[in-house]
Amino acid sequence: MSFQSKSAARRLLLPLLALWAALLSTGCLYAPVQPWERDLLAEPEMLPAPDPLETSLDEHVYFSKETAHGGAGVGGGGCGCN
Amino acid sequence: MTSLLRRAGLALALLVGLSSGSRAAAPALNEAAPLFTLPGKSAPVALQALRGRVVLLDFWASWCVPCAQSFPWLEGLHQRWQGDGLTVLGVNVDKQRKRADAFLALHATTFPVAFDPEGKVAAAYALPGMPTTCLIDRQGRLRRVHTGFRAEEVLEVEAFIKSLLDEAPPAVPTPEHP
Amino acid sequence: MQLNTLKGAALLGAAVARLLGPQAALAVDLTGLEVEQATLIYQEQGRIGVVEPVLQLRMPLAGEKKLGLRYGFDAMSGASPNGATPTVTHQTFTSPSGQRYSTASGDLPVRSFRDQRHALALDWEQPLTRTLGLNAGLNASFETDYRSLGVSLSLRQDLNQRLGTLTVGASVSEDQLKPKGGLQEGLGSYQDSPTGVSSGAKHIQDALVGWTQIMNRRWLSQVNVGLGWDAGFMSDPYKGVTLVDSQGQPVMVASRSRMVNERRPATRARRTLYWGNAVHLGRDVLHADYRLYQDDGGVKAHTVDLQYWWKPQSGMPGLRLRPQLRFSRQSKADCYAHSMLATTFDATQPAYLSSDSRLAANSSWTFSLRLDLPEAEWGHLWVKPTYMLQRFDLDPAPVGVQGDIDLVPDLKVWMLTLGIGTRL
Repeated sequence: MSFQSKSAARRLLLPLLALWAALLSTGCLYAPVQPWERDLLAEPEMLPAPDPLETSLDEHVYFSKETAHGGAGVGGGGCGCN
Repeated sequence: MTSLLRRAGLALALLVGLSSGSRAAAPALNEAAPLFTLPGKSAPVALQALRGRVVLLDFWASWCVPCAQSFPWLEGLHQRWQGDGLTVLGVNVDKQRKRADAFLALHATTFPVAFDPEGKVAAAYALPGMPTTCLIDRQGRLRRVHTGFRAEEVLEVEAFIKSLLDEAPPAVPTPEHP
Repeated sequence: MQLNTLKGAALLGAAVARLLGPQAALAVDLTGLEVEQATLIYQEQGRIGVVEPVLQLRMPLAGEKKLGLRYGFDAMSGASPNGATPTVTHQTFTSPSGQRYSTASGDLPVRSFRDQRHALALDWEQPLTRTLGLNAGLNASFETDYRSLGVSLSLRQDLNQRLGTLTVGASVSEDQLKPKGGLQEGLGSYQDSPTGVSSGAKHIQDALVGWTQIMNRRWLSQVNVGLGWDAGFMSDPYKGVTLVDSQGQPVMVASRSRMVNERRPATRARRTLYWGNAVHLGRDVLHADYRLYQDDGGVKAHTVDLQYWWKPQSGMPGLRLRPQLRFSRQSKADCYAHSMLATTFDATQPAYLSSDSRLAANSSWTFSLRLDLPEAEWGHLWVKPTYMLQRFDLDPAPVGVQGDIDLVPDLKVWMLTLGIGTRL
């Protein structure tokens, strides 16, 4: 299995990782949160997919219209629409 | 593709390394439980004043789902064993008092509640999660720290409380003013 | 769920089970059952329309386990492109079932189509230790000419006082397609080169490693790396490609446009890099997601999805408004061409060729606005209108009269989703 333009992913991945590392190492953006300080994080809108049913409908539409799919998780039903 | 995996692995290692939380040491078991005085529903609540009783210190918050599930159980313990020397003391860690009050209005309780909006007592007890239940014996020693609320663990915790209640009270009451 | 009730129910359940035998174990306490229903109404301008109602049940069980079930039904109808290129003259085609249909000059050739789909998904969630969780899923989908069966499994390990979570997952899907009239020879004469084989199979495998990190009190971030492999019959059995002359006009054979069945590679390796973020802004919450997709068929795509949960301070809990903006840009697949010069086709004998616009380089914009009405005694209700616009690049460049026609017209989609839910 070979990808024709390996360099594209490489070009993007490295800056992303660098940015990530930078964000983590600057204390202003990364601060450990104690278990009793997770009030805001516990709100339903903070879930990666606050409404899984809505997400599954959306993903089904995108999947049927675009080549790119997946990435956020595994699973989900297939269809003959693509 | 292998290079992608290698980079991903590197990134993960980086994350694990950087994300290890800085945390104060947890209080030792069988040693004196950290003392505190916090505002209560009306009057301040002091742990020291409860010496001689078994204290169930329950750290909770309005946003914590298992906390809500544990409240009927806590209320039951309070009703059942307060006459036998148990004090159930809820310590709320909400940043906003009005959220705690709204929660209390929904889950009617008769056991005392103290408010720790800055998390000072939560930090002193270095809570590993929410809710955390700390059991303090009649001598004021921290005997057990229990995290989470699961129905299948309830009976075992109750048995432990019973054993603490059965322990002899301090032979000489701790003098208030030495 | 009150513990007393729980204990009581368990005791009662055990007593009843002793009296009545094993059947009594089926009597289940439905407290906590979440029932959600959503219906998607989807309409492409001039093309396909879909109505898709979905029912979802989620039942929390003892020991923090959770069972989920989702059933969806799609009713699709409308006009689907057959792959032929629009041209300046009237065109006629014959469908696999032998029906003739025609397309006016300048229009995108489409065949009318009608299908139904039943989709069922089961999901099981269970903690293995205090920090390790398991998630297993089964899904099945049935259409008249397509069937998909899949399983997925993932593990979540919380680390560092739950500041970070490592996710590892995999899924496998076995699909079967059984097109009307059987499979056609790839790149053979369009709908006129049967292979004698009635069905084809498609194997889909995915693996994913992810890391979720609590960055601070307001920010949750997630990075996933995904790999996927597809193998089998991956062509669209109903689509063809028109071969044109140097004037851009379809080459005519026996008063029909000369067309060949499309043919796509039998394997595809995919990889994705996903970065999702949820940021709490005091009251409102912003979701900002990015995905990079790349496959060995030449497609590379960047997708950005922004969603803003606006929670007006109204004293009405549950009232929310969420605007969404999504943008996706993909490059073309190596095998894509809206049409091909007959001379090029005959001289180069391409191994793969498809005019499916989903393989074309394109930009797709999605705008939506979700409104959640205030939480009521009985449950909640939400509604979401969506508009999607997809524009395609013209590649290869048009020749001759093709310059005068909209070769790959924009796709415009209107959607309306209605949701309703309650918890017992």
